[in-house]
Amino acid sequence: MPNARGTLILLLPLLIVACGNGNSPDVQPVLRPASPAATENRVPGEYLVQLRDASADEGTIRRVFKEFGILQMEPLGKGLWQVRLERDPGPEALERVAAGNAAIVHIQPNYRYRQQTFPNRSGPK
Amino acid sequence: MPSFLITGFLLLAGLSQAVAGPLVPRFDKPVGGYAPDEVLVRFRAGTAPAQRQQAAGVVGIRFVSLAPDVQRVRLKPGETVASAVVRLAADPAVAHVQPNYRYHAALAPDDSDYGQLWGLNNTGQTITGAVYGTANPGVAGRDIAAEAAWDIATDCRDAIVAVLDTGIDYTHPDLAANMWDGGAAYPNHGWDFVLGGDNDPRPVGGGEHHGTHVAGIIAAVGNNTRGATGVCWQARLMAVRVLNANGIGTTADIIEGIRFAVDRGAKVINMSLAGEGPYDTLYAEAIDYARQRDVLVVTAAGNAGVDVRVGSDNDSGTWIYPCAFPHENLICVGALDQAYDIASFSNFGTVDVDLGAPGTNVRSSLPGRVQVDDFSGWSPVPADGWTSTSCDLGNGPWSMLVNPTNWCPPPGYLPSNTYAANANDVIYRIFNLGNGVAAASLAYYAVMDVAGGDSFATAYDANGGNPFAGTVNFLQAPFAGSSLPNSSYFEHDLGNCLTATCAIGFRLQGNGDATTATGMSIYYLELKTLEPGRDNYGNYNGTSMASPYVAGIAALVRAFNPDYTYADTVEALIAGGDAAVGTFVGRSRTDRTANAEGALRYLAPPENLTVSVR
Repeated sequence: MPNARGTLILLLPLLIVACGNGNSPDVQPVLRPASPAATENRVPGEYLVQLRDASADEGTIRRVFKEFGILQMEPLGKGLWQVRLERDPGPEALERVAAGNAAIVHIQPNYRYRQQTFPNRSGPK
Repeated sequence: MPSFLITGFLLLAGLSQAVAGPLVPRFDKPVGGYAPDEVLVRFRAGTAPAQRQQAAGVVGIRFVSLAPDVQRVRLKPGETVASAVVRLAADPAVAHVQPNYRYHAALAPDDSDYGQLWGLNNTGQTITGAVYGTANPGVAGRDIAAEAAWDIATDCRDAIVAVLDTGIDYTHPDLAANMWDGGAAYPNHGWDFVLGGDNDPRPVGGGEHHGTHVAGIIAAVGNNTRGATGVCWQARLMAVRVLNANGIGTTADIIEGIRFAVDRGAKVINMSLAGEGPYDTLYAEAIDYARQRDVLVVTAAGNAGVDVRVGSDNDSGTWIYPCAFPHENLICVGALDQAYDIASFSNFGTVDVDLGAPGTNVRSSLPGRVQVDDFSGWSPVPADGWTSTSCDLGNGPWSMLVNPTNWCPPPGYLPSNTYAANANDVIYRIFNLGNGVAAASLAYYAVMDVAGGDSFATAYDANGGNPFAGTVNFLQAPFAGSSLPNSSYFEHDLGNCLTATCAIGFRLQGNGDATTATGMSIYYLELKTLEPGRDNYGNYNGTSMASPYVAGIAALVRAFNPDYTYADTVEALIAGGDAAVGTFVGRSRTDRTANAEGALRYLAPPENLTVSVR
């Protein structure tokens, strides 16, 4: 769905009731509005990498992630780097990469967090 | 209590005097405790003076007659009020004995919207422009006891509060005076870490109202006759923009924001944000970085209506963070409605949620206007395609635009009527987005069922005509699909339509083939503008709104006693809280709700700590 910010989950469980009376309409779930959909909980292709040596330069990052194609990398200070990969192998695969590389202390996805306002649920009446 | 017994003294010396307008003294609450070395005694009529002297002399050393049968008794050294009351009550000559309560002015600010701020002072008022239908009005007295707290302190300037959010409109007339002075290095009161970062953390899009609203809950200037009142009347708010125009932030931006705030002296960080996922190690380390530097972090429990350790995915291993982080310097706050029941949307948890605080119909400062459209004044072309109507979808009537005109199903049912095979139906309305509007956004919900080959689209015309006549400026390109049985959420930037005649329209087109698709309904259409420097306010719901109440109280506590550590502050917040009531009982680890007065009065010092009493 282009530009739509995601399909929303109905708050009530889907209720399917088989009706014996052919003249009765099927009972359907109540339509209710929901909050803007939660997006994927991580930024695809983006990872945060904590290097053991805080003074290590970007060469270390380039060597480790070369096979995935580096679109962007940015030092965040104290040996922490933000990396955007062209080919995202997924968090589990990168954790295995980190486990086999003494230069890396920790690697993880760049997770997403969202403001916590809640839309009008009672609706204009 | 008979009026002749009200002999307490005023503690006006405890009031912070840095306020702009006149104070309104009242004498209706025994908020000051009682004199620690006095009791008041009423003797039975007809008892002899010797009997009275003997009774009072057991506990007292000095006696002042206040009325024919009433004495004020100064207690002997070592005699406590509690023991004296017990002993005197047992004496047959005594009709009544009580502490000598203290009374003093309950400080109510003169801000114009103060009467709507139920979270600060719940009088059972009905909130106008409500955005949460339950418990409006609520229950008088269920609030954070702000007025009693303000008798003790209103000034938070000794504890910088960082707001990690969508940025703050630091030009807002009710916030400007309370912004952190970052000097030449940070001339705009903070930093923007979104999209590479810059030194200007103000909101840039029409939808970015969140941070300014949160900031106002903490510290909209108090007693300035204008708009809202914050928990703090005077403050130093540090704006740290870590959430983008859609209100979404990343681990990277947030940990940079935390470090920025901590390294520049913040004592309290408010993060009205949450996300569901696996344990975020680097985020957790950033909160620990704050802990090591004695910074308290206050965060929202989240709005999924679930246990933070179960999550929306029914406990498949992901929790709600940062609420579920275990740090001692982290306070997680759930949202309460006006009756102090848990809000329907609020997450909860007996391990991680520390406190409840007001989170529905919360009025605060905004960087622009919020206009929820009532769907009057829309022009359908042709007249029989779209219409404005009211439908009950099973939870009460909703105003909406629909196509076909008989779209509304019975409550509890899905729509079944179909739109015309050859539909080419437009409906539009003109909005005024001129006169200083810097940005604007459009958001709405839709129940959509459009057959393949047909299409739904959204467009604008800055000159006020039919947006689909002539060259079309699409906000939503034509597409087909079905959201049934759910609804979809749309949001568009109106940056190219900032005129006094901005027409916004929807179109449903058929390709001539007969269809069983049921068309469109559009509801809860909301326009948000950005109008820097103007006095705008509005009501929001969310645990996002509950968190800043607690952050504000934490700032009051830390400013009132700068020697307090984060741990002392947490203890004061929890121990000074009220017992949970209603459906919030059993929903937090403490079963308590935030109370500003209680937190301040909990300044009874832990060992080896000096308390400043002003």
